[in-house]
Amino acid sequence: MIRWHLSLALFRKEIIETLRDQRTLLLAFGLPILLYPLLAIGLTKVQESRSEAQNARASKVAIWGPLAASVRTELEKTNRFEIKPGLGLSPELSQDLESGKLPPFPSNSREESRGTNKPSASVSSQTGPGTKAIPRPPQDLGHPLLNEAARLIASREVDAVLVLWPGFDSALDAGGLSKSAILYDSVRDESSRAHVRLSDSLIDLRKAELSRRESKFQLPSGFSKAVEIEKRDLALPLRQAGKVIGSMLPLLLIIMSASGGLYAAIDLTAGEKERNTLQTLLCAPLTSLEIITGKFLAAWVVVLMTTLANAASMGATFTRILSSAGGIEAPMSAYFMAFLVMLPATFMVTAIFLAVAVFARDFKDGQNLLTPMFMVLMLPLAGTSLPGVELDAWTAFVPLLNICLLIKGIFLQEAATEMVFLVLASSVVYAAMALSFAAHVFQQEQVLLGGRGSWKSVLQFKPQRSPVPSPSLALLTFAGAFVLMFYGGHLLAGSGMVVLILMTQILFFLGPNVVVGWRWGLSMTETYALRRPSWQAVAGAVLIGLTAWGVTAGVVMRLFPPPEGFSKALEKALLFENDNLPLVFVVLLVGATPAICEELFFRGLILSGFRRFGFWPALIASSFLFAIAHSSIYRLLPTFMLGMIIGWAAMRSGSIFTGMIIHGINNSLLVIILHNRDWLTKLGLDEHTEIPWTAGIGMLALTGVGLWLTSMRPIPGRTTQPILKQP
Amino acid sequence: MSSALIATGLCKQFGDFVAVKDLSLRVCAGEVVGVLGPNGAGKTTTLRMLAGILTPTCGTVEIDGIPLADQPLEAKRRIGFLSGDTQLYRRLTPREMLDYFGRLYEVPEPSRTTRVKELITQLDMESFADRPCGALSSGQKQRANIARAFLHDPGLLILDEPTATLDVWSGQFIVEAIRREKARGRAILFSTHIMSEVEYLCDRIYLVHGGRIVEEGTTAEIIRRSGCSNLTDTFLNLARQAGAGVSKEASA
Repeated sequence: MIRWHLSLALFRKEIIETLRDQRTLLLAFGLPILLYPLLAIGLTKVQESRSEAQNARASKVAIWGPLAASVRTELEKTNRFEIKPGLGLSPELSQDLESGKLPPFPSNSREESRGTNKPSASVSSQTGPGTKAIPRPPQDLGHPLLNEAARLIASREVDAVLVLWPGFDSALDAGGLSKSAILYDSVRDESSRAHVRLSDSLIDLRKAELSRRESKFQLPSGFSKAVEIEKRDLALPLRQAGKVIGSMLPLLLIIMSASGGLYAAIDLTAGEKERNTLQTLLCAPLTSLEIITGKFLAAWVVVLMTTLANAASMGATFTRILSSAGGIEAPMSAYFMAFLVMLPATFMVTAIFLAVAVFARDFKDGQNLLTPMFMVLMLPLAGTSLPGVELDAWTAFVPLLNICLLIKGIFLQEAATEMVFLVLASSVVYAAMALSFAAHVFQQEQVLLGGRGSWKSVLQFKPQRSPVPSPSLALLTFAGAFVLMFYGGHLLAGSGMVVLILMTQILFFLGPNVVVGWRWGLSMTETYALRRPSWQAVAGAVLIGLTAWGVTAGVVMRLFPPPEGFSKALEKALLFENDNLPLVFVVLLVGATPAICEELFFRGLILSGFRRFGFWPALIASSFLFAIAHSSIYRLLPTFMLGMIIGWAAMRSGSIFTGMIIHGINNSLLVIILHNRDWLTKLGLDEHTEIPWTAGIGMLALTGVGLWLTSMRPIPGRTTQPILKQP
Repeated sequence: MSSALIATGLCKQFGDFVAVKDLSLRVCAGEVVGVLGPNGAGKTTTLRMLAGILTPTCGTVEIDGIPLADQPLEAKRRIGFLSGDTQLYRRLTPREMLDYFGRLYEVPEPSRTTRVKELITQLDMESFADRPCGALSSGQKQRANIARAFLHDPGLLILDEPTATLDVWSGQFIVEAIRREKARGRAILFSTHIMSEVEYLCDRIYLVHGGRIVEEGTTAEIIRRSGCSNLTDTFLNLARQAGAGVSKEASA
């Protein structure tokens, strides 16, 4: 069992040393506190001065074709144009244009495919990044005017070209259709701005003309408009701010937090090797788990401080920017939530960094190893910028990406409770896996003393045959089964409830159990407690099985009721309405199968893996994992309670069969009641009636009696005490 | 005299390389035992196994009757380990460093603070006890290091070339400190290349070559058996003979 006072002494020393290191302080606090305000202020100022300058600058527009008086008036009214009639157009082309010899522009497939009907033709140009644009080589755009305009815009003599086709003015006067085209380069900002300005002016001209025509022909107002479309954005300012913040903050927060952990992890491991101080620790009376725990806590605290500093600094900066931009802002509680959600992510990243950094011979080597690891870890975050990537059942299990999307969801105020639970549960599992790996690496003496050692020997989890699993083996098996169960469950979702339940139980609970039990040579009696229980234990188990549902439904779920929709969905699933199954089959499927597979897994492998930590820690840990495996926040508390009851009975009685009986009867009773609702009706209960408190408490008392019975005669040989030392 | 350390049939293999093979030794309370051998003979690996830093591939170690493999924490509590290349935490002061190791060795308060003060006085560390270790000279660092090894009052001291990087004065200080500890009844296992230290300090010697013990006894016995006139010649002679033996063994 870990001696926390020693790990905490180590942690305290590491923190003192770390906080005396100016580089760490600078990276953890100085950088975030200075970086965001400086970036924000700098970028805002540059942006403001640039847009002021750009707005003040008149757009240079060449006008080809006869310049209609109405157009000139409209353009000059705004003072935003520098008009250059006929600029860049050869006399021949000018003549052809005015005489109407030129054909219309070829159809613009790009614009058409977007479904726009703008009276414009976009001309792309290939200007280089230099200050002076180099006119690109001629490229045939299918029309001499387009080719000329492209050349002219590329040479930067003008920002856009307005083509007024022959008869523009006369058509306008005669009530006909006047044709024009705006030629611009969407890649150039000035050209795009000229396009917008020209469009606005021409739209104003059109409005004025339509209004004139309506009054001339005494048409009702709105005759030419026909349909008025009002657009109203329903996103509240909070969500608008959330969109802006949510697209940047999570990414920055994760990257910056991980950067803080990178340096700390190297310093605490490879740095100590380089400084030749690790040996003094290894000859001290400490276990490697105590050492890695102390170091891990120190590195984690540094990462947390970095995260907090970043979240606070970003919060302050974003609030300032957004409030000055339009008075919108995100609540400070969202930043705090983002920090909380980051906890499991920082836990995982720290553990991974620590495990990898141990391999390094010195600081430089550590950087060489951790930089690629950093890149690999950050790679999934690219998914946040992909269209359509949202927090759902699939992304909830992708490490770091899930945290990033969840933070985004928090800012957008659309993070669903179930998703929050899945993200946090999967992140905790990944973090535990990473820490187990770090602890495993720290036990490799060649890695600690002789430099890198062999990756192969470290990554090779050579089974050390033992009657009971180690805590890390139990945890890793759970983590593997949990992730497999989740993704496997999604893949099997289309195959129906019967297949889903059977496959989940066999492939994800029984399967890993059998494989690990066989490879590690786990004892059937010590690990799985496959022993015949005493008759008192059987009687107690039956009593608990019959009454435990009353404890969960009558007490726990009354105190913390799940949403009605959730209960309904669960009931519907358990009724197997579409499968038309006989009740006996349903009982076998929902009652007997989990009773065998889940009990062997949770009260066998998992519980015995934690037993060395003591009775209660083992019971709580295994029950917690049992609850997490049910993948729903609404079932968390009831399943945790059930896990505690079953685990207690199994441990006290010394037989896993006690647990199987309880689990089997509990589940069977549930489906039997669901399939026979009329029984409830006869008792005066319907689906909306809660189990009375008196009944709940009565069943709690009966469960207590059952628990007492199961512990009356523990089987000799099956210890109810913690295993302190593995043989 | 009771045995503070008994090692039997120790072996250590790193991959295909055998660093130590079938090595047995014993150190009694109040005795200074030297481990001599050329570079690469397996001295450091042996001492690291005895201190519980490395796990032997085979063989057993008992510290004060406690099997190191079965009760590593209990056994390690009885060992003070120091090597010439061990460094200190540069951002901690010697006082903080000693307090830290006092916590790790579970020396309770207030005796921990008293013990730290006592060692600082005994090892003449007052002038630099509150300066960061990174700013100390090699001699000062080694004094602080020796204080760390003595802190929890271990019955057995394992010292791997503790004077290797020191000047004559600092080296002499450490040697005298070792003599004082011997006088207090501690068992000391000591490796060095400095023959004068061996003659001055050691009651018995193990000569190691190719990962095996090739000679053992008191200084006088070993010199007499070799037919040489002094310890340096004896050492060179034995090392040559052992080297030839190892080569023959390898070629056979």
